[in-house]
Amino acid sequence: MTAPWPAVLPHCCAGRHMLLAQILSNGLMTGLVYVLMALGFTLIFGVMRIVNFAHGELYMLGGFATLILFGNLGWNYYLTVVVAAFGVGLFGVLLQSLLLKHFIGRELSGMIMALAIAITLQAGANIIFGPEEQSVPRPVTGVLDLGAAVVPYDRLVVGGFTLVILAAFWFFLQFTRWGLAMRAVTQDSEMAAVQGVRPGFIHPLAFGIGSLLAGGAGALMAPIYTIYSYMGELPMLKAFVVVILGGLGSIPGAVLGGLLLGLVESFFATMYSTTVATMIGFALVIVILIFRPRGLLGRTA
Amino acid sequence: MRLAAAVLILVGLAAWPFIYDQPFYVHMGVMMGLWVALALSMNLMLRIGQLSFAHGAFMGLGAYASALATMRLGIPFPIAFLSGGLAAASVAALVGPIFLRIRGVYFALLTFAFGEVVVLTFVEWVEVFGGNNGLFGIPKPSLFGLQMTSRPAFYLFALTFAVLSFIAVRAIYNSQFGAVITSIDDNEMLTRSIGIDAPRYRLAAFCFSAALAGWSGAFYAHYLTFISPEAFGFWTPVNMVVINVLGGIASPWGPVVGALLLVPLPEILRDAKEYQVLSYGILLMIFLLFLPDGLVGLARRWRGRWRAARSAEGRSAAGLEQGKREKRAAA
Amino acid sequence: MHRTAIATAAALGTLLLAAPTYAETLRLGVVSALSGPGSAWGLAVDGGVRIAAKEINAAGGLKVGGKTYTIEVTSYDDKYKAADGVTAATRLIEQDGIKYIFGPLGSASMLAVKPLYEQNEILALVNSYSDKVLDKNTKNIYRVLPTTREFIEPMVKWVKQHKPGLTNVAVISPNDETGWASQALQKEYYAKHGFKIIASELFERSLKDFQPLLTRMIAAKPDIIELDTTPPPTAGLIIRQARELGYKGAFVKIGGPGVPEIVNAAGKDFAEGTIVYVGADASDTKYKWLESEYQKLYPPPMNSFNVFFYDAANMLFESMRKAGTVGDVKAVRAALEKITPFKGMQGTLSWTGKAYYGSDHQLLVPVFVGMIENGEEKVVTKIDQ
Repeated sequence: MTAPWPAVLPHCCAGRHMLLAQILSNGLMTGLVYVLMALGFTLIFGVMRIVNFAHGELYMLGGFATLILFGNLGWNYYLTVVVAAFGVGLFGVLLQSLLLKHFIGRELSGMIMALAIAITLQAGANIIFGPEEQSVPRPVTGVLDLGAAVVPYDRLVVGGFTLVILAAFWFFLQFTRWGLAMRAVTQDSEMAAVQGVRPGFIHPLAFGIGSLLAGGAGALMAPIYTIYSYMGELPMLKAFVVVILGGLGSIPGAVLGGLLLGLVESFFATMYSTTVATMIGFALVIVILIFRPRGLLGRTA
Repeated sequence: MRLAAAVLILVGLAAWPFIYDQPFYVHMGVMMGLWVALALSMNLMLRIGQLSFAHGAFMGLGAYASALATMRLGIPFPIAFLSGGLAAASVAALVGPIFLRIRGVYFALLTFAFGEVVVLTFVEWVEVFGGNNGLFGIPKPSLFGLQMTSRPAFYLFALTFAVLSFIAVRAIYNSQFGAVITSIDDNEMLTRSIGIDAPRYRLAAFCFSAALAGWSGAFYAHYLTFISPEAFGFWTPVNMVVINVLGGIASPWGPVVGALLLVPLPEILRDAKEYQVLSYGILLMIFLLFLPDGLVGLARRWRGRWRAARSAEGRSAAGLEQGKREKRAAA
Repeated sequence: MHRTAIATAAALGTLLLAAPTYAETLRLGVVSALSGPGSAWGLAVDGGVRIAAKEINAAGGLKVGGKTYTIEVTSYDDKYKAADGVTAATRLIEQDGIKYIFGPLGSASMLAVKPLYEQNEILALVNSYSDKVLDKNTKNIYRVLPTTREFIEPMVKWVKQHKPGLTNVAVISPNDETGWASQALQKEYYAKHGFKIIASELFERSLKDFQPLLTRMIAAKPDIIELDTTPPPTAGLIIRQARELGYKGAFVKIGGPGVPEIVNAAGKDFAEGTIVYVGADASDTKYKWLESEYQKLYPPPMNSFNVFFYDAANMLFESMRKAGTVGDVKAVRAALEKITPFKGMQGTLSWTGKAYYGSDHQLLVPVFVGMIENGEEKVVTKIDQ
């Protein structure tokens, strides 16, 4: 029969080495998104000692921002991502100063408060946007044919964005006063306080940056997946695993853990099944928490 | 006097479905009994200062163990039911010594991952657990050849189960054992220095807590006659925690009050549909912000004030001490 | 607010029952997923029943045995969960005293509620896909929506006739009761009509990244990827991700219709040419009327579940008229069994199922073969059964 779809599509996966190359490229692209989610999650924990169960809902907010700005209002996609990221970041600052501020140092109550925020945001989105999964058109189409593997351009855009954000984030932590202060708080909050770092400023800033990263990830992934009120649950779960792998509060750990999980999952999901891959992720978490509770790159207490 | 009142209330609780036979309310009563027991099992964990997200999995282990024992092995219900709790407790005893070394937020994360692995096992191991489809046609409980089919009978079962759980948990808290596990939360070094083997006490508390969740699961399975993995996922332990937070975690009355309030809440908000979940989330935030000691904590505070006002000597020192303990437990 | 008003009206209606000269009330119940995942289908079930009831009420009420009844629908949410399904059904049966119930939607919820329906002799018109819903002992439960078993054979036959040269089939289905039962049938009937099954995959419903799974699947070189009961938005994602990985073969989706969602998630170009099972012909004028009515209740898009339950409610009303009673459930049930062939919105409906399930409690409806053209669903042919 004649193919009604565009005939420009490349071929792939001819042999075993090609399969492996495809696994690597899939894993790397997924891993980069994990890194983006995990960075904010780990930063928030490192600075405020709060396990942010609402992280997935911040991702979801980024997704819906794309639906409105890019999907409905027809904004430029890249502008949308930037606006969505900063919008969610501001929202995060608000959340921190209104609700989570009272729970600093109270890990269990803080965790439950974050859960309550997650439930509320999810229900709110469900009421406003309805239960159906929605899609926006893709801003970039086509694929990059590497011979052994193919990478869709939209994934490359996400990967590129992630690298830019990572670089900016690294620069911020290494070379700015606020970044240094934030690192100081992560390492030893009491010492940092002695040295004159004001938690009243650093905490909202850290939560804001964490939210910004989650919102940005949601906005970036919105055209690639579908947009709905529960869309944050899976990325949040992944961030959770990544952060434990790398060590709660450790920023290099989040980068390493994210890429590692992306690759491991891609391998097992291709060779066996996604459920097996998910189980292996959680099994890794259990093993690491038992033998190296501070994670692969976390400080030993 | 207090005992007489307690007996009177219990008789009243046991008798109402036979006098006022409204099956829907009886059903709600059954669900409340179930959640009282589940919330009590979480209360034990919070008492030792460890938030466990594995309790959905423990409930599931009990449910599947009891259901499979009756369905596949033909074991009589009472034994199967008991084995449900024991199965959960044995798993807890197996992982407990390792898990309990981990403290605070890391324990919460560890149990979360463990719970997910257990639930994924229910999903993946289709031959045994029936996968996402679950198990269907679980026999209703029967005792000495008598099958329990009527709802009031289930209600009596649930009531007995909840009351026994409450008595057991309260007895634990009032005993020396309870004093030790509470002080573990407060100051482990101190307990160790006076020669008490704190880790063993903590393990015992963990196992009993898992057993309670397991029995609740077994009851759930034989009441609904249908179970599937989703019922034991992340949101089940979250609900247990929420009930405790609402009721107050410093006393075993907290989970009781919390369950009696929260279980019928969706029924009252029936017409609200999505707003039901929204109000649930907002309510939870309000409680965390303004009533960190829960309803029971609030009642205690009021009673403390009232007493202080009444006795000029200001004997409210005891009440204050109580308040302090609650604060510590809440934090 | 609106709901409260209806409830108040209902309470008044019950009070007025004592006076026979006034219109009486017939109460119907719906247990369905009205919030959360699956509620797109769940709301459609509720919508179908409500539109049918509204239509009758607007025409002066349901006339049965010399009396006129105003129909009132009470719907409870089961959130697609077993325990909530039991709570909702118990409330309808015991608290509200309702004898006729539509739903639940989810298999877990349905299987948990099944014994309640049978014990209480509730006439239940249901839609869950599970094979276990119907068996030889089923008395009070009727499935009013076709499952894969009812539409697989005409669909596969059509593909064989119109797309010769395609032989290797890979099937992908959700990993639950619905997916398992359906995938087994897909394999059976594709093989029966000369196709070769080269791969079959199950996935968790929450999955969005199909690249690993598709990398493996495409390596087996299928001519057809059969999307089975995959939820439409997810099916769209699979189509897009497979095309991006270089897959050039055909897509067929025999199960779970929903072309707009597929096109939105896949993109117009990638979705082009996909062969789909269609539940109802959306170009039909009656369908358009139903769509406009649905918009007054819930936000669009409407789906074919609405059509099935609009028809089911009307079948129930007709059975009551034939039986001459609304109070005698057994008589209504007897009339319902004899009501087919029934003229539904889209063609003739009839009871079937004895051969597979052991009882004739399954509704057989016309099957539409559709194809995605320029991002739109186009009904290619209608197959009467």
